[in-house]
Amino acid sequence: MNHSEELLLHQSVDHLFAARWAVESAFSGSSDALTEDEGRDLGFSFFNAVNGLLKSAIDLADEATFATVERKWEAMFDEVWLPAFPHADLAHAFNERRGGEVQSELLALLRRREILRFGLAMWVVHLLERPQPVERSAFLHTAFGVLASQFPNVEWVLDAYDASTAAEESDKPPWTMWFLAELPDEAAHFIPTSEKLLLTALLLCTRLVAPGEPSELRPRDWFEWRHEEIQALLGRLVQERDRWQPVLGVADAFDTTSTATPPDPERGWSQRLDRLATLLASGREAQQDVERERVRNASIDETRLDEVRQPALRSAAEYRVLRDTLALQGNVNELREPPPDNAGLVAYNWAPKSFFVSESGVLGLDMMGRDLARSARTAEAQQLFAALPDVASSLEQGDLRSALSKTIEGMRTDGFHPSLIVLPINWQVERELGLTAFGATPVQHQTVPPSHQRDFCGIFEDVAAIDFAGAPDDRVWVLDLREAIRFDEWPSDSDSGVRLEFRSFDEASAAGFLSEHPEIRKGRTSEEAVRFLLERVLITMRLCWRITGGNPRAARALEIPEELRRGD
Amino acid sequence: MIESAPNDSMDTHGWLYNVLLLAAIASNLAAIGWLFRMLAVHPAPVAGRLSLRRQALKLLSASNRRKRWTDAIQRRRQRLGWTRFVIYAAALFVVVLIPVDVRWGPLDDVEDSEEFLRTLWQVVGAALGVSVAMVAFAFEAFRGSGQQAYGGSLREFAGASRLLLVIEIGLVSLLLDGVVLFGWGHNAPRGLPAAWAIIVSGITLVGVGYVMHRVVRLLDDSALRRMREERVRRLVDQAMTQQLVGQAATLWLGSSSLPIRTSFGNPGGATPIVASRAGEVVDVRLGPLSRFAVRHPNSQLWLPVNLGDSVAESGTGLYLTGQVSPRKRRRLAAAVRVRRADDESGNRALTEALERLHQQAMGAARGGRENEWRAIGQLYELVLLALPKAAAAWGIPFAGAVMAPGFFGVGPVQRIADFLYDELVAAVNANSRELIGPITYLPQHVAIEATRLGAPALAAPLFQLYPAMYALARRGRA
Repeated sequence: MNHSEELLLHQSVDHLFAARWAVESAFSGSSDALTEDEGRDLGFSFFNAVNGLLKSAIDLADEATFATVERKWEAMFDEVWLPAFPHADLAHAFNERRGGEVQSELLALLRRREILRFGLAMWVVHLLERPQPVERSAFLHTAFGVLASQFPNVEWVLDAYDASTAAEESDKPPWTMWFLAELPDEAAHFIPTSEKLLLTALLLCTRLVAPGEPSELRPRDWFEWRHEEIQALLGRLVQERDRWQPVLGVADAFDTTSTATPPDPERGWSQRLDRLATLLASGREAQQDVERERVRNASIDETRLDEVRQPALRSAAEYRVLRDTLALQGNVNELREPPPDNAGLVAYNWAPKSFFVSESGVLGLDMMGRDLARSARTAEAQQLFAALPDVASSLEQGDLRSALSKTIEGMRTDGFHPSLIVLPINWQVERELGLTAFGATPVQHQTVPPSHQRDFCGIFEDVAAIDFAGAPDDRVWVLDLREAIRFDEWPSDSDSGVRLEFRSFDEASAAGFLSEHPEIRKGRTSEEAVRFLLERVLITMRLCWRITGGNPRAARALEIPEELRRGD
Repeated sequence: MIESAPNDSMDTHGWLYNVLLLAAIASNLAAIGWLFRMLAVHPAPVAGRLSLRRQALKLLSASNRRKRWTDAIQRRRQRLGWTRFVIYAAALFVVVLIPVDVRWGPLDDVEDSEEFLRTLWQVVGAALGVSVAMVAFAFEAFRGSGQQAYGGSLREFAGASRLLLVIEIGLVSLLLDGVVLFGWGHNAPRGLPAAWAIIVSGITLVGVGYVMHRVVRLLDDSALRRMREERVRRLVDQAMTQQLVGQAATLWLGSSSLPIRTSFGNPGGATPIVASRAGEVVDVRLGPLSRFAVRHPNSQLWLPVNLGDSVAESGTGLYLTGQVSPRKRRRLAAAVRVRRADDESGNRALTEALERLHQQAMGAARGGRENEWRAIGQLYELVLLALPKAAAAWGIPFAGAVMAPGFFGVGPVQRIADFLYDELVAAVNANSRELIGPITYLPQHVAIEATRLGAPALAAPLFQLYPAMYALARRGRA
């Protein structure tokens, strides 16, 4: 090192810190100084340079420069007293030199320093994750200690972590470039900033937790959504005690009231991490409570309801194969209102209210809507089979194919017009009857609705055949739809055949609902039952049609031979 | 006669009516033709050049219209060159033709007037000779002062001292005396022409005295420094204007619906169209280009150059997919207006001036010449602090792409930061301790001053030199 380099080593620090006075004077109230906005902007650039210098000192394991720069940095604004992490809305911060509240620009600057310091701590942690030479490792332990000492309590650390992750997305601190500089060019890389920041936060918290301090943690949303990652990192810290315990300098007993001598470092470490895990779990529960409270108080977002409603109605309309087949044959009896003797088929579904509040991040509501409509489809088949006579002719002689031909012919002879063959889902039966569509090719026939051509299995003796899930697997029906059943329909939402209602609750309506439906209380206290309702939306789907039986002679069933039944 | 009068009137009205009718039909046809053409060439303009430079200036002038006009006037004045001299010389000669008689003293008599003008002619000639000798002396003194290398030029020195102006007036004065003695002008060689020739000669003689005084003052160090600073400010102003116009042009072209795309190089499979000449792109006539693109839907035009870019000999001005005749290619190439590079203006001039300063600073750093480097450091500071002012003149904050222009984000600020680092490396390598202090002091000093000027963004690249300086210092310990 020549004399110039020696001089440069000092002057690169001294002349950089010459700008310190310009930054500090901006907040001193002096008339000839920079304005507060200018001081903040200059301070940001200055702090970034200090951060770069400290990072270089860490990389070069230059303890003297690191200590000098960090000390000078720390001395800046040492007249400002902060009761907590310098959030933008921090109250009661006090400027001792100037007197009075701390300006928002200065708070922004101090916040920036915290973020950059947290990033430096992350970088030291990152370096310590790799094996290091003894001397370098010792320096990194010291550097981490110096940086960690700037974070006075667990909440401060977690606030700094929050601010750092937010800054990573908005202010573009240099961390990504730090990682990239280590990696080879011309290859894709995963930049682990997010994971390293979390690990750093957990390490700093581990250093600060004590048996009764803090008693609990403020709720934070990432306690919930990063729960598994937190658990994994805590597990890793348990296993890597040898590496991290010396870094944090917490080899002594965790519980100082314990009389055990000498202190057991391993036990102290696990106690410390257990305590942190407990605190984080309590924070997570608090976050869940906050979330539930928010959902309970939030109003329903109609646009999100529509994301369920529209796909549900669309799907319900698309699924109505029997109704559309009957409509084609002119056998739908349209009513203005539900018949008075209609018991009404109603499906109730409870959905989390959190799906439907405007802040919800839940995706795939359209799938939920389609699932709701599926029950309407199965209802069509169920009502059809309930309306048909429960008798079936056994095959006395011959095969199913010829028996079915005879049955159709017999119905025609009796003056009926067979228009639909209903089968269970059974490929052997279909093959036996020569029905080869299998849903892959469209079936074209005058009695088949164009929109449902792929729902049919084929044509047998000029009669369309269809299979239904849930159909009795022991028989095949031949129906003259005009005579065999009666299909009544009344107005529905968007002609979908169903009416959908979404009901959310407030305290009063929840109490009223509970008195009408005491079964909801089952296993719950009154308060819990009310909370249950406040956190949910009741989705009611009413069918706006019904199928009733007609002339029993117009519906004839044939038993499927045992050898053709499914599962044989 | 009495009966024919109404017929004549009817004939006249009928003729006028026919003319008006034809005019109306013609204008309607023209309007319909225009409309059809508009539909045919949409989104290209129906006619006209559609200057990219003008569109960019309009976009910029949304923030400062006055600046746009003063710049336009200044630009036209510079382009006049020798024409300016011809214009005011012609104006001086026109005066002798004014038909006004002056009968004061010797001007009333032809012989007295001739005698006086002959003597004056010789005096002015001699004075002019002295001026020319003074030019040589002053230029030599200026060159010898060593200031030229710091950014001053002879042309600038001549302009600042008004030397050229006085020589120009002196030449006109000699010619004017000759013309009047020859008898051209109203009542020449006496009367107003003689009076006017005497006045112009008098201005020349007074001017020679003024210029001598001014030359002596300009050779003073502080005056040279002021001149140099003025030049740097002008250079920065021109460079910033050029940069902003280029950036505004890119913005405008990107947001327009014209069927012309921009590219950094050959977009693939396209044929390059060689620019009309080597030099600097001063404008792009988008009207002909976009009309061509509309008429040739199977071809795609790509513009790989922006306003202010340099085009080398046989360099590409456009890229085109599809085949066109050589004549059309020449016409397309002509739409990209290229002017021979002028070393005295724009980004190029600023870059070259900075390069010269850097070369000299490197020499100073290696040789440990602190005062020489300090003088250059002041110029660096001047440039850095003039940049935000120049941007502010257009009402644009000096930050983001304005501070770090181009694909690689390198502008004068980044160049100077790089120069400072290189000079520091040179000083460290040469063990020039005297230079370490001034070089390490400058970035933070300029950063603070720039913040005061409302350009805090400038502080970031300058402060970022310090970690690099530290790493350089530590290099010796590694």
